[in-house]
Amino acid sequence: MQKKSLTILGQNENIESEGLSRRSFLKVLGAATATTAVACADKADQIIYPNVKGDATQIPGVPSWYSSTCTQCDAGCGVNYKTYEGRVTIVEGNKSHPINKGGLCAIGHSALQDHYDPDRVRQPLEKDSNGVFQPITWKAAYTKIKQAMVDNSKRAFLTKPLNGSLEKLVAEWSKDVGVEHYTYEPLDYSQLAKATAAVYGANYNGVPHYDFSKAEVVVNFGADFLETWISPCEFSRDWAKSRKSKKPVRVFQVEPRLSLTGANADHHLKCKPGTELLIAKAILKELLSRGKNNLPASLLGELEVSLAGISIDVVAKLSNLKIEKIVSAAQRLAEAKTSLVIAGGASAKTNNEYDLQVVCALINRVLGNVGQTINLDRLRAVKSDFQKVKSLIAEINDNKYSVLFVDGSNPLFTIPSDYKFGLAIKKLDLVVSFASHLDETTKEANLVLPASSSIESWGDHQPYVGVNSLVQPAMTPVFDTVSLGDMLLKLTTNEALKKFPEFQDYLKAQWQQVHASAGVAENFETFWKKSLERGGYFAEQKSVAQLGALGAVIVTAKLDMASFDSTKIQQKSDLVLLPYASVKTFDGRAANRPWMQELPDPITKIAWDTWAEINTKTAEAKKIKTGDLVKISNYYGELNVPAYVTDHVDENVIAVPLGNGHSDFGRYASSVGGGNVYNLIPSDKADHLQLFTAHVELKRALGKRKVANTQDVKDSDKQGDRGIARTTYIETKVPGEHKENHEEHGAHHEPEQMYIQREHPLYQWGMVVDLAACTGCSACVTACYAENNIPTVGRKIMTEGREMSWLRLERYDDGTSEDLQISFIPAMCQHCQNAPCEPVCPVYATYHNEDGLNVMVYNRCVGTRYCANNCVYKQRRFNWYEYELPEPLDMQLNPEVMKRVAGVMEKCSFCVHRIKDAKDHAKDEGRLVADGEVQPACVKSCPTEALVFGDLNDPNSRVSKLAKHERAYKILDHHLNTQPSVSYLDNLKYKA
Amino acid sequence: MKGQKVVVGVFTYLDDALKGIQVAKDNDKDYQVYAPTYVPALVHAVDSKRSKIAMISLTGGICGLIAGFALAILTGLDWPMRVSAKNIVSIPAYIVVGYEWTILWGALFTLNGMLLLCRIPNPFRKVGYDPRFSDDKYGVVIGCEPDQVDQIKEKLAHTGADEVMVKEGL
Amino acid sequence: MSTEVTKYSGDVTYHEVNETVLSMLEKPTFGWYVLLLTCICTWVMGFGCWISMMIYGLGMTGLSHPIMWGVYITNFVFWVGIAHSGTLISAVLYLFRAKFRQPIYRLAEAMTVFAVMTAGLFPIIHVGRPWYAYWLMPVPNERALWPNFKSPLLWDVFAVSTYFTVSTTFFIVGLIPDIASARDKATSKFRKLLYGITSLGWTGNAKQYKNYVAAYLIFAALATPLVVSVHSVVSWDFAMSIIPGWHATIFPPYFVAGAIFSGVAMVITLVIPLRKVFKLERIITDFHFDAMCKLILLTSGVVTYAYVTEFYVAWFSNNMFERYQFWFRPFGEFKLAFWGMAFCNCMAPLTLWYKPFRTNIAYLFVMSIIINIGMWLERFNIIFTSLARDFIPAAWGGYNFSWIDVGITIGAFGWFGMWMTLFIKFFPSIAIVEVKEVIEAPVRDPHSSVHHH
Repeated sequence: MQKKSLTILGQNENIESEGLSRRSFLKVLGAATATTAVACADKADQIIYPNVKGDATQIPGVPSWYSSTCTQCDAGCGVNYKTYEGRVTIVEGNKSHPINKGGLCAIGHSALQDHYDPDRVRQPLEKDSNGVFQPITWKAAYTKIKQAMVDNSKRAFLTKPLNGSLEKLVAEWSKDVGVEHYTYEPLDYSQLAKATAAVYGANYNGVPHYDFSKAEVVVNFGADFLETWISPCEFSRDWAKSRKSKKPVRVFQVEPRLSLTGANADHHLKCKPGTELLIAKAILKELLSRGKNNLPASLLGELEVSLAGISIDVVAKLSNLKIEKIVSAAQRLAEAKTSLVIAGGASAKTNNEYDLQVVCALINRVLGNVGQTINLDRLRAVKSDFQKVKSLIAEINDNKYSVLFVDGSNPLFTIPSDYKFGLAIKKLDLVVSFASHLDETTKEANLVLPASSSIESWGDHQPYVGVNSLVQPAMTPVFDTVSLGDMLLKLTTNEALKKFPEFQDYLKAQWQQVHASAGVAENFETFWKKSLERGGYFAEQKSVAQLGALGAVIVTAKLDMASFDSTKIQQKSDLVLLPYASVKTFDGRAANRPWMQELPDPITKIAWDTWAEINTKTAEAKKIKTGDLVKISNYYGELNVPAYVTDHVDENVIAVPLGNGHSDFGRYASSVGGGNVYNLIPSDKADHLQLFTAHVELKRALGKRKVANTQDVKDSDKQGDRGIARTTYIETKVPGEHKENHEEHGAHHEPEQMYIQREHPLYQWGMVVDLAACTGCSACVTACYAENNIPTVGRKIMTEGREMSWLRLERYDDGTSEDLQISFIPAMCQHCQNAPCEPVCPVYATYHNEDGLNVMVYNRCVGTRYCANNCVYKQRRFNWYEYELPEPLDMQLNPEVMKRVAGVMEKCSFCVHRIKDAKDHAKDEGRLVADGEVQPACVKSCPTEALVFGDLNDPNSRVSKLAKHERAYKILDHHLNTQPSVSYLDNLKYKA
Repeated sequence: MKGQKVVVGVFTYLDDALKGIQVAKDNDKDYQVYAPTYVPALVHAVDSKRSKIAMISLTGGICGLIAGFALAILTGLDWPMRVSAKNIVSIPAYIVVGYEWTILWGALFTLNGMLLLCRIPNPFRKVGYDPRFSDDKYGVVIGCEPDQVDQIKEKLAHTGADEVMVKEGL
Repeated sequence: MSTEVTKYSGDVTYHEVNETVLSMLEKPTFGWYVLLLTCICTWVMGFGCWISMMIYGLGMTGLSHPIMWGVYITNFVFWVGIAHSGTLISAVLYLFRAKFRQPIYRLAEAMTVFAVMTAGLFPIIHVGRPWYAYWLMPVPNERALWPNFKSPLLWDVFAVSTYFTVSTTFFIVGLIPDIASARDKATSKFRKLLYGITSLGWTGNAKQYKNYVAAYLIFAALATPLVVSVHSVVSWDFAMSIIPGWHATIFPPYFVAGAIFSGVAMVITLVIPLRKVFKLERIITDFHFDAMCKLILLTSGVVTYAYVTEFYVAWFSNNMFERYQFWFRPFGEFKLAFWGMAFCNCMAPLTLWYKPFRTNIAYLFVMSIIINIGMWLERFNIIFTSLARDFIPAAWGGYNFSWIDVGITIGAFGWFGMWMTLFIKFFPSIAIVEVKEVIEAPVRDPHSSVHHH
């Protein structure tokens, strides 16, 4: 296949493409040929023209799919790339991948906008004498580097945690060219790993695998496992599996600021910052006293002593919690057959995180969770070593280093300025950046060798044993870039490495071992091809973990009050800055993606902005209202951000999301100011970045900022008794609870219809959304943007309420800060059978088709906007302007969905083009569309399978079964008889 | 108007004008009466039959009603689109159209009927017309042969006309 | 013999009427040119706003989700409302033989026609793709695409276009005899020609009068149900939808009353300066204002009643959405509009119960303007507040002020004003023939029986 295309193309030329010239467009088109090969190489400079001869496997308009692995974070979710004529238009979760099993988070979807980012470096650059970057050829770039490598000065290579073959290659390469390799990421799990080793045995130095589906009770100290923690897709999936069951997992969330995970927990314990350790200890003590003590007697003795100082009422007082809340957590743990106690997230990154992790590990051990909910075989290695990085910075500052290589992880942004990396980087003779953006770090580089995105590169990823997942290019590079692996092979002098012309070959060599260890019958090539199709090679491992001796514990863990340092925090006036990772920008890597910027934050509903969550009392004291600009400052730096006043954050905490405030990176990232949160964090001796230790001043700055907030209208986050997002409280048969709602406006009421209801001869498409499984992670929203070419309108237009999202993730907050009642509900067009929007259109631009869909005909729309007024769900969006995408972002547009012009109405179509495809296929094969055969983008993306789509005509389809579920209801139907095609299942929660 | 000549009587007073009309009737001559405004007495004196215009309007109204419903129903059937659960032909919704067209067609028919019956537009001045008739004078115009002119003049003068003129007929 | 006839007998003659009215058509003064120019500039400015809106997109307006209808529909309803009293005064009062209509109805009708011409622009300005607005008409086309006759908007198209056609016909028919008088007095070549053509050779002979009057009566009879229907249909744009605050059976009568209310006020606003400039005091007397004020009092009462009913029903229905909506109006984001409306439409007019106010021209002028503002605010209230707060709180939103909206709104007044200004100079703005009709015909012998037919 590959060979064939080459013979057709013949000549071989070197390209410096300038933007998306016709040539490079053809080049991309040409990728069609390349990508049709099951295994495809990024031989960008060899395939320039479209495959004239035509190619049986590549029919224009018919997509081809490629399995790969998401590299946005280290979770290692499997993905499928959908490509048309050689351009990737959407990325979806890989159903057969053991980590995410089909779901994908918002950031995972937005990988496309990183790949097509108009601000990507388009060819190698060199900084000239005036500090301006000038394009150079790859050849020149390589030679310059080689020249710099001859002398025997010290050279360093600073990267984010690498994985699989690339990690191996970097190691070998570093050794051979004499480069020291350093790894850094701001939100690392080093303390968790250390504690695991300490408590479960030295050979378990890593992050264990947690199974939330098996736990009955989870006590969670700030770990945002439904958002960004370790492997969110995997965790939310397990969590949801349990939530949907008869006996859902009961989650206690202990944290000073309400996170998305906290909002989904049953009990939110809003503690004082840093007091988690105390609470954990109190719980441990409580458990011991309740006879939960399967520990060696010696250790028990030690614990008794060290816990002597802990008295639950003191703890309650310090942590500002009700005693019974802590006790009930302990009690539930004690009673539960299986349980799980975890700690992590930004709020745990205080100066006592290690201790907290140790105590949690001990509790798990005490409760016998290891082997139940904690799997020590599936350890994730922690590679980030901040200790080493600090020493590197120190040595650079002492001029010990001359050359520094950096990858795209942008350390200059994520290492707090107080660690003096900014100064260090200026002292180097040569800084080579392999980044794809001119971010803060790359701006300091002398040479920029842009690395291809993971959609253009080869690679693999082993999150933990048994999961060998592959990264393969789905298209030829958009720009004149080369994958990191290939660059290193070009730069090597080592004969052993030289024998690999390309990284692909190196990779395959590594996989020979995987093949060997797999012990499968087929030969390597077949195994390799199969693995590529599958997305990797996955083998289930039997548990062999043995708990190590606990001797180590006492030595390493300081189980005494002394380690607890929150005395400062106790002073009312004292404010601590909590920089947390949001589902929008994570640690900053996703900041230049319009989808991510436009995505409303699930908790605050703010988009295109960074903000400071301030407690109501604190705000009142300083006369601060939501939207006021505030100055948050300390010795190290300052932030100027709009305030978001809320009860859901502790009085001593100011929470600011990480990732915004870029000075360089790209047009979208730098359009959101505010300042870099990392820079306020003081340096310390710790071996990991202690995010949650910055004490700050809060001042009301001059002026206000009109923040783009999709739910900022007064009372718009209170649903009252409108029964939009409903919750059934388990174990509470309190009269007047939602049980009654079901009788009065019940789920399945069939009112008298004035008109003869429409017949649906073949299909009647419908959806069911299980609120018990919906976390509000907003992956569906981003997936919808990607699939339906929904324009991002930008901050200003969004403040005017003109965002175009077809899927609105509504957040209601009906409770008090004491008794939370937060509900999320993904609302899309309900495709009503009695749609109010249809009859009012004077030109039939919207009507009802025979499949029960409410269809919108853009070309017929005149724009009277009557339909939008009459839509009771307010799901119709109007094109107030026409929005243009800077190239090459437009290459992502889905050819199956037309781009709407200004002046027409649009709305969710249940991805009607996908339905059409499925129907056509079925028709060709003379059958009906099978259940689950067609899935809209939102349904496909959902990591928890909260959304189910199918044919309501078919009584056996999943969707029609669920629509008859006892928890099922339809929004407003009992008021207006709109007969929606979307049913919702009540959320399930425990009352205390 | 029969007769080569016309005798024009110009009146200030209504009762005089009526006498003038009587003169014409007595000599059973063709005559024409002009008035500055609508004076029922005058019009009745000339002819007391009811106007035929009502029938024309009615016809128009009925046509409009039918046309209105026909339009709505036929276009609906021609492009059958289901909106919400409503029937392709839902009569209640079409009443408005039928109603509006009843009035529209009724009005248009009336307009044309009126033009027809009033014999307008008419580019030629009617014989014996005088600008004063649109101001404040009544005019009685009696057609006669040249030999009868003096006699009619005589009679009109006696009715109290401010002025009696003789003009050419058609 | 009705009292108003005596108002004329003795002190006005046919001739005087002719003279006074036709004198209005004499050579335009400088002031007239200034007025005309101002009007033209104003609407050209508004037109500019519209053009820029078509170029850059409807985002230029203050509209947004969920307030998809706003200032333009408000203006549309406002102008249609203005249009109403014209037909009311000319047709309905004609049927009721209320003779006080005679001197003012021509102006009222002119106002109607021009107001509808203004109102008709707004739906087109409002839509997202105006160049396709004609799709709302049943234009035969090869693809057999037809409009949806189930949509209240389409009813609107038919109602308003019918209303425009009929009222224009009615207006022109009424003009014919008066143009004839103008023709007979015309001196300049241009005017001779103009009136010669437009009078269609009308002579006012008995036969013409017979059919003319009969036809006129039928027009009146046809126009009268339109007065009721048009604004009912306009109100159905709202009442037929299911938005809290719109979905109410009271809307048709409530809108019709409101329309007459605002229309009469507008007539007063126009008549007062005209009367002053052209010295029509002897034809348009205090008596006419007094009569119009009584009409205002009546309609103001009806409107107020409708407001109260809306609140009562919202409370009585025990429907949480309705209740919230009607709590939101007086106390929510747009409360100023609500209280403004309440003051202008319900409280201020009450002063007219006091007779001296009804004949105090200066006071009436101010009052009429207050009422017009009030009625604009009423429509604002209905449209904006209902859309701002409906069923799904998460979708609630507000309105962003925009100069484009203001520009187009003001431009509309220029457009309307231009037509009015041109009209009063070129055609008799008082019905000469019909005023003469209510003057006792001069008789030599008072005891003659001519008047007892």
